[in-house]
Parts: sequence; structure tokens; C-alpha cells
Amino acid sequence: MLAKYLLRRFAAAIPVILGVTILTFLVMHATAGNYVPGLAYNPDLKPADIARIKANLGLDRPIWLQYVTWLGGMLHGDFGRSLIDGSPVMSHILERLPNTLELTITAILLGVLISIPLGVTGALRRGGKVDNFFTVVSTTGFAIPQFWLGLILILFFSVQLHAWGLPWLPSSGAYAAFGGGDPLDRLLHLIMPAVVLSFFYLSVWSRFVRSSMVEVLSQDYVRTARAKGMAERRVVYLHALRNAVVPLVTLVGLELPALVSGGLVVEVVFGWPGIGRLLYERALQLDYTTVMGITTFAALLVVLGNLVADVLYALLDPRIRYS
Amino acid sequence: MIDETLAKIELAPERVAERSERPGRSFWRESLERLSENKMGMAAGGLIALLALIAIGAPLLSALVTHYDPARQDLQNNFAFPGRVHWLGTDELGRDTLTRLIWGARISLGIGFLTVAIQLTFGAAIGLIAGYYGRLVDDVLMRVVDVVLAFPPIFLFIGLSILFRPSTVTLSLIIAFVGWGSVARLVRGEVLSIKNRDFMLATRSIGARDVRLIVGHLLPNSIPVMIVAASLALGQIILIEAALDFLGLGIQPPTASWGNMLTNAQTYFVHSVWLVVFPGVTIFVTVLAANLFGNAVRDAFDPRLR
Repeated sequence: MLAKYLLRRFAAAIPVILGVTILTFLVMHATAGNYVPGLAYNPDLKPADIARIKANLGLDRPIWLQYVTWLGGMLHGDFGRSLIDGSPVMSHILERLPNTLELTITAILLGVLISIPLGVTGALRRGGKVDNFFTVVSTTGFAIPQFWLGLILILFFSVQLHAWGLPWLPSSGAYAAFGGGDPLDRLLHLIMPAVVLSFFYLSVWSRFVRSSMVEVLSQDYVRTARAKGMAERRVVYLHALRNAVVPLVTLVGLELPALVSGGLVVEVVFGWPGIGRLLYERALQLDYTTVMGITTFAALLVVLGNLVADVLYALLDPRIRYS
Repeated sequence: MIDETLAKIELAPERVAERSERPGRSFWRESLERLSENKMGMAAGGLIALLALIAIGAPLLSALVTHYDPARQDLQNNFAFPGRVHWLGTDELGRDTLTRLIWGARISLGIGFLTVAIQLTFGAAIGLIAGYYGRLVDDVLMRVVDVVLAFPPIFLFIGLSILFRPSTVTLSLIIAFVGWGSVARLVRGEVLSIKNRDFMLATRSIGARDVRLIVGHLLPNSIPVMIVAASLALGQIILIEAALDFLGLGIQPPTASWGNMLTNAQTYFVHSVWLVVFPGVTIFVTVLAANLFGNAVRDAFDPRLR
């Protein structure tokens, strides 16, 4: 039963993977098709040279063969080469990915750690001043532009504090994660981008924990626990909290795709050397192959991530229906 | 994803329980009445309407109230502090901030509403067809939705905006290219729950064709879900559009937009704070109003909350 379910889940992922690659391939083909004729405007290039470039890039072969070759390359981890410097896209991805993960994982952890106490406090003091204040905070988090919040933080924590001669935070200039460097300096660079990024998460999750906690507190077993004289503290933190937080796991799981892409705007504002900023810089230089290579890589990660999550759920939760 | 999250958060049982009593009035009357009772939601909706009026009347407002042209440079008065001459100050080329904000409203709200319209039309059409015909049609269309939603949205926005020269229309199409997927899923779900009800069977038994069943019955019954999806999407679209403008991948200068005003402001904000404060606050307040109104509409219209 389980094996059959897993097999079906794998089978369902295959058309999605093919769809993702076909879509990016077509887009890339359209742009590369513009790239080579563009060279014809260069007076130093003879028609023979252009034909040679085309042959080198494999553009003289039938389109389906190009697609299959490209797909085969990806199975070996080859996501193409940059149009600008000819370096393999995969080497850039591997260089930048740890930095991005460092930022997004920190932000998600911060979001979880802060949203649980906020949500629980809100639920326990429903309608009170504290609860209303938290509601305002989370409504703000939904509406504030991340890049603007980043600029305002830089303005205060980097520019003003520096101007006042107080300890200040660096606004950008973090260097590569595993290229050496001082961990403390690294941490200082991480604070502001991680805070900006986690603000959105905690806005969403604290609301969720709050309503989930309110729901759990009205359950019969909580009433039973209270009726038998259990201390309120024990009721809330031992029985209710555990059941209220479990659904949050699913919600946090939904953010897994954002591990790679979620930090883009923040990376740009704070000059964080992550994968999002790489994509952005290459986009400005019209390096189509790098942009599409990273995008395909990220989309495939999302599909595989969802697959792994489903399989894990099936293995962990015996109640899951195999249908 | 955000819409789904919002829906989950607000489906707490306390709220569902409050609405169990159900008077025998029409759905629309009841919903509109409930919406009008939500003071905060109505105020937020009023603000959005006001901003839309400002956007439409931008040429008039800049001619009669602020007396500046959004693109007119005045290099002798650049970086003017907010005051009586320039209410919200001027930028590095001496352009009036307030006038540019008023014109920027056309971009933000224009793209916001256009995108909502595009993704709703397209998403609903796909959702209706997939849900109604089922089987292979459903499988194929839903796999297409899976493919589109597999891409990280921001990567897709950036990739598409370097391929197509961004204008109001292309930018709306680019943002809607991602948004239609979740609308399609939502409408499809609604269709699946309606299509086997007795009234559908009855209509079919008197000889109604597919088109009539879809347009005459499934569509009207899906409209509440679509209204909810539309009102929750507006704020997010305005945020995304502002971010793309800020990154230099959306509406290009010299056309004023709230997002691209902040791109330049970043260079000068150390000495001219107003350049970064006013556009940011404008975006924030607009998105806040859109979200609050969206929540109020959801509370009033969402059939799942009844």
C-alpha cells in the first residue's frame, strides 16, 4: 500500500519536472535565438564565424535534440554556462547557495521562535491590549515592503547610530560564508537582513498559532484537564501548546521553496552574496542562460522538496490516506 | 500561497460558530450588509476608492493643486526640504515628490487592478473547464498549474521582465502569469463541490448544454470565491510591483512609480530622508488598506465561513 502510494507520487512528479524544463527551455531558446543573429551586426565576424558559433552552441541541430541534450546535461548537474563569462552556472549556484541558506534558515528559525510566544500570549489574552498590539504588528508585517523596511533599518542602525558615535551595524559587505573571515563580523552582517526577512514570517505564523491555540483551548480535553484541578500553567504549556503548534509544522513546511528564493529582495538591499542577488545581477546584465539555469534549478528543488515532504508525511503519519 | 495561508489562519472555529444563524435573505444582500457593518473594512475600502480617484484625476490634481509637472526638473531647487513650496520636498533633479506620488498612484493601482482582472479571468476560465470536464482535461490543466507554481515567483518575475520590455500591460501580464494558478485551483475546487448537486442534475436533465451549465450555473456560484481571491490579491500585487520597480526591472524612469522613486532615494537618503520616507509610507498605507478591505470582504463573502 505504502509502496504503491510512493510510486504514484513519483509518477505524478515526472510530468511536472518535464513541464518545468520544457517551459524554461522554450524561453531560453527564444532568447538564444536572438543572441546569435545579434552577433551578425559585428563587422569583424564573417558568416562562417557565426555558423561556427552556432554549431559550437549546438543551435544548428533540431530543437528536440537540443532539448534532450540539455535535459541530459541537467541529470549530470550541468545547468548550462553563463552567456557573459562562459563559466558553468552550477559552480555559481554552489558558491552562493550556502550564503542564501544561512540567511533564510536564520530568518525562518527566528520567525518560529518569536511567533510561538506571540501567538500563545495573544490567545491567552484574547481581546486584551497585548493581543490587539500583536494584531497591529502582524498586520504591519503583511503590508510593509521588505526593501523599504530594509532601507529604514539601514538608515537608523547603520547611518544614524554611526553619526551619533554609537555602536552600529554594517549595511552591506558580507563576504562569502566559507571563504574564511571573522564569524562575529559575519553575524553582525546577518542581523538586519535576517530580521527583515523574519518579520513577514512571524506576522503570518503568530496569527496562525494564535487562532490554533484559541481552538485548542476550547477543546474538551483541556476542560477535563482543568476540571481535574491541573495547574493552569501545565494545562497551557503541556497539553494545549503541543497540540496547537503541530499544525505550524505544515505551515513552515510550505515555506521550504522560499529557502532558495525567499531572500532575493533582502539580499539585494543588504548586498548579501546569495543566490537571489546573483540572479538579480545577472538579470541586469541580460545573462539569460544563468538566470534560466538558476530558475530551473530552484523550480526542480521545489518539485523534489514537495515530493520528499509528501513521502516523509506518509512515513511519519500512519493516519495519512493513500489516495 | 499567501492566500491559502490567510484562508487557513482565519478559518478558526470561533468565527465559524458566530455565523451559524442564517436568516432567509439573499446571499448578496446578506454579504453586503455584513460588509457595511465592518467599519474598519469600509474605511479601508474608502481609502482605496479615494486613491483610485486620485490616480484617475492625477493630471487635474497636479495642474490645480500642486502646480508641478511630475517630470519637470528644477535643478536650482533640488533636495528641497518639505515645506510650503514643495509640500513633500523635491528629489535630486528638483522634481516635486507629492506630484510624483500622485502620478505614481496610476502605476500602482492601475497595474494592481489590471493584474487582478487578468488573473481572475484566466484562472476562473481554466478552473471552470478543469473542474467541469474532469478526467484528462482536469489532469492536464492541473499539471500545468503545478508547473507554473513550481517556479519561485520572484525568479519568474525577474526572468520574464528581462525578456519583455516592462510596461503597464506587460508587467500586469507577468504578475498575472503566476497569480492565475492559485485562482484556477480555487475555482476548480468550488466547481467540484457544486457540479454534482441536484440542481445541476436537474438542469442537465432538461437538456442544458455544457456552455449553459458552465456560464449559467457554475460561474455565478463560483463568484463569491473569486471576489474573495481578488480582494486578497490586490495588496500583494501592489507590493510585488513596487519591489520590481525598486529593483529596476519594472516601470522605468522618468515615469514616476512608488517603487522606482525609492531606487533613486537609496542613493541620497542620508541627507534627504523624505525621499525614502514618503514613497515607502504611501506603499505601506495603500497595501494595508487593500489587505484590511480584503479581509473584510472575505469575512462577508466567503461561503466557507458560513
